Amino acid sequence: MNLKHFKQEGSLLYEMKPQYGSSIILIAGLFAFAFVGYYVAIYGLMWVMLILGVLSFWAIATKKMSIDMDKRLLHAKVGLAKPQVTISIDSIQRFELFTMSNNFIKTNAMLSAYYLDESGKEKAIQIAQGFRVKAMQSILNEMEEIIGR
Amino acid sequence: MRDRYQIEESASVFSFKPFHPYRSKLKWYGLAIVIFGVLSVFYYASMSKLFLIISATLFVMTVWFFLKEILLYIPLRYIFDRSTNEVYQSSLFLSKRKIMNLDEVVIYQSSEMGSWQYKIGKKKMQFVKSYAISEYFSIKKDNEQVVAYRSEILTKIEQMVTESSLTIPSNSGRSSFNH
Repeated sequence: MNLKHFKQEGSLLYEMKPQYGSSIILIAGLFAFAFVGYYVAIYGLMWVMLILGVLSFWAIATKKMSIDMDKRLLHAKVGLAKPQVTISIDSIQRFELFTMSNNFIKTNAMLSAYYLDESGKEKAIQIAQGFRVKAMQSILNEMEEIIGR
Repeated sequence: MRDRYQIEESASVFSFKPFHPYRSKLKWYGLAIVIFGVLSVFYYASMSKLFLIISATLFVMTVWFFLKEILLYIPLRYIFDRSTNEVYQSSLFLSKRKIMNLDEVVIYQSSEMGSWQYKIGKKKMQFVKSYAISEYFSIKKDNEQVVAYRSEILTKIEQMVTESSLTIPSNSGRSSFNH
């Protein structure tokens, strides 16, 4: 299997490579605003932007996703507040694409998976996010290839 | 309900107009166009530039959306044909154009801020080139419209797609049987 977005570790364990593109721009923007706040001496702005920047850096650094095909499980840690979740691959119901557009231009694309938790309730988890729908497509294709759908 | 989406069904063909329900919105567009038109004329006569710019912009925008609905969205029809294993789209300008094979259809939900809709696309590239097959639904779960849409249209399409992918191996369309 020729994988672009996942790294194969061991025979049946696949780890998703971190997606830096959009996050770097977000963090750079936040720090740029913090610098502007420092420059024009609005220290409130500076601190808020600095804290947001550090938090989003932390969130991106701790983001993890791996697929264990041996046990048919998906481990994911997304976001700061949410703990790591483990999902059975067979409980994944469907994938959904979320797009955000500003003034008719698509600015953000996000891929999520919907799954059933132990109590049978439908829940969503973010798989990836970026600027382009094409990237989401190739991530989904690779995931489907791995989980064999 | 069948009128709502103009469903036409025969032994092998299922077709519907996903945006037909938008017709009920048209009168509000008409009202908005009249209001902004009158306002624009009024502000043009009274020489207040700022308000003229605002009302003229709103006028142009509502006309733009009105024309888009009436020319592009409402006449759109999708035709799912079992016998040829093909999906067609027909619009006001193009009549019955093949968009994909029936057995490679993937249905998925696509959401934007505050609303979502069903879309179809070819397997492995469904996000890149997609076709909207439902109107926008509000994010509120399981409202009546969604339930009705699912039972009248979505289940039918899903059934046709699974049937066709069982009889015809995927990745090879009907054409492979012709030679």
